[in-house]
Amino acid sequence: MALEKDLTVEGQTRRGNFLKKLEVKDKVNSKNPFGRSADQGTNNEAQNGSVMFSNGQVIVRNPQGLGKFPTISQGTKVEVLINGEKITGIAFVKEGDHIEVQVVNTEPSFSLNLKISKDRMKASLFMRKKLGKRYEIEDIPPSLKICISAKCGQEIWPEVELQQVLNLLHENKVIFGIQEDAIQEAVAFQKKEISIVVAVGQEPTGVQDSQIVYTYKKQVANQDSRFQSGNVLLLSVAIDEILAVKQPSVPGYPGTDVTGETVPPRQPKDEPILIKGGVRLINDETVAVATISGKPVLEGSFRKYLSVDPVYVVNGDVGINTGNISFIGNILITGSVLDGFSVDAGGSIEVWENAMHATLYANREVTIRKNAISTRIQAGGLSVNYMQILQMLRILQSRLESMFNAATILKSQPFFSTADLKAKGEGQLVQLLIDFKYKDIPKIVTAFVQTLCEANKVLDPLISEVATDLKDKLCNLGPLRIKEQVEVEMLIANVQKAVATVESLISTKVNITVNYVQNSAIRTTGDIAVMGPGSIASELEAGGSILILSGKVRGGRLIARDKIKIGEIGSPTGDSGVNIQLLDNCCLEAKFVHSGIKLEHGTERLLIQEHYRDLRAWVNESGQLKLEGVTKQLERGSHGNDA
Amino acid sequence: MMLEIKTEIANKVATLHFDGFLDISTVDLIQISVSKLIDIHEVNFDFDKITFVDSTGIGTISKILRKLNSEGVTAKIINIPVGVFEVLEILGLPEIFGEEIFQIKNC
Repeated sequence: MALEKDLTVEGQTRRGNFLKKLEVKDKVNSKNPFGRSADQGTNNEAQNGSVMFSNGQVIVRNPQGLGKFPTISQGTKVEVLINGEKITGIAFVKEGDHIEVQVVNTEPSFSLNLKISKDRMKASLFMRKKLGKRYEIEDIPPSLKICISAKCGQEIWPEVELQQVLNLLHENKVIFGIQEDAIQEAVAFQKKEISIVVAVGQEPTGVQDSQIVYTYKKQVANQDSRFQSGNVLLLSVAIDEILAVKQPSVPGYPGTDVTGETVPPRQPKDEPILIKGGVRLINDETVAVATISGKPVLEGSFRKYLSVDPVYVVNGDVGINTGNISFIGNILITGSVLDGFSVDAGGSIEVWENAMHATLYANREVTIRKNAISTRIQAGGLSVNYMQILQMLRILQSRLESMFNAATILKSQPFFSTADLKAKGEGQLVQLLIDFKYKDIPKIVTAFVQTLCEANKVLDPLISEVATDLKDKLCNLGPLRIKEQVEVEMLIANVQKAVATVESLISTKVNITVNYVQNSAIRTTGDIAVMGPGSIASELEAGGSILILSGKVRGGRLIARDKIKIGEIGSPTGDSGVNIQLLDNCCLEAKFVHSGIKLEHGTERLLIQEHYRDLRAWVNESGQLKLEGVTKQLERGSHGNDA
Repeated sequence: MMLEIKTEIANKVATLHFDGFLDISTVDLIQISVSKLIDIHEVNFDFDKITFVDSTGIGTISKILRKLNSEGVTAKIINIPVGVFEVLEILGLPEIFGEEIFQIKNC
């Protein structure tokens, strides 16, 4: 009688007068779920009615005396009908009412969409599945008010037939390349959405564009690879030697799209062999042969042009017997360039031995197989000068713009009187700015003018005009000659024009390759590669990279725009300081770096005061020089240093 | 007069109190006032009552600062109104002479 005890306690707690009835109810138990005895109907006491839901049925008990009638309402996922009428809110019920409760189930469903690509080579099925849900109502014990709701008891995935998808394909005229496995996968896939390729066409095959094989390049492969640089070759070719062969194009076979239509193959590209001087085409323009003996050159970034430059060969040394050499094409020297002699080439220069106290100037590559001692080498022609000039012009432009803005701001200051400027001219203000905040401007202008003089070549006249104008107006007492600030604005505009002009004049990057450099000055638009022991007390300036991978750099100055990669910099005693200037986003990588190395980027300066291993130096986003590497102390147990 | 200068000297420290404009019309007066200072170790230019400056005035005062520095005399500009200091800063004078020489007026 444990239940009876429980009920007793409950009844006492809630309502004392229920006690008896509950006891009775419990005695009648399951046959009469309300636990009402037969004589209860005669009880005149007020007793509320009740309603319950059990085994899918609503059972109502009317109230007694002045008791209340029970109510019923519908919750989620059910519909309740009383005597055939659907209820919308709370409804009173009584014994004898025909009460139906219907569960609102959700049926599983799916949708299929087919997308055919524009070229009709692919059909994709997009399937969206919606789960069906079966709801169940749990029994509700007798109460004056009940709300009947259903809970999800079962989820059912929609069943999609393979045939339904095939029918969809058929409706869309997709008949070729149907991937039944993919469709099966999509049909069986138990997720809400799936997109899958269900048909794939067959692409046309076998189309081959014409190809140009530069046969002369094979000769280069057999040479010492250390001294191959760029597209200028070390070997010369003879007259009528085949330089390039064009392999004809192949039309190919048609394909089929997913609708079964034939897809014709694309037209193969037919690239002609493009030639310049020293080359002619034979055999229906499919073979290029040399018309002069010389050095084959392939140039151009998008369209490649083949030409043969004449080669002037000096058998032996350039010295007292030959005099200085100047030639419009390439120069090959099988010996050395001796003390005090110069070589000037419209093309490239190759020296098989050494260059000592000499000057080498080339529009293209320079290669010295052995050493350059106290030698001045410039490759890339005027582009080298232009690169240097461009750098100065850009700094000048930035400084002048800053000064112009400062003057404008000054004039707008409420404490600043411009009366004297009206009387004496605005140059007075420019002079003041140059005297203090912009002291560097006259220095940059002077260096710029000096660079133009040192170039010793005919540069674009616009640059000389700009240089003269800058010198007149910004150096010495020049600023005082400026009447109005607009003259500074015009100077800036001219510098801008000069920058644009110089940028357009800088052409192909060419490289310098040398085994060893000592006390020399080397400049090029491209890379400088020192293949042997390294560089001693030399100035190397590269528009590209400086690569001294297995060598040492002691003393001197290195300037590069892309990368500087070196085996060892400085000396263990720290007395062979090297100045390294990183331009743009150039970074330095070195296996060993000794103390006393100065790094420079723009106005940032950094002196390396420790010995480093695997050093990397770069410029971060805020323009600061950063170091990363392992200091020598680390080898003894301390941590690395991040400058 | 566009500028009045009162000079106070105590313990070889001269303080020149400026009142008015530091401009093209007053630079001669400033130079005369400074030239009268003899056997002085420190000079303070009090800009408290400076209401206007122009490029000639600043050019003159900077020349005076250079000259005094070269003679080993400590020179300072004190009580500089914020607006005037902005002008000096745009021109870069604190960078050249040292920021400690320029003392802004407390509001």
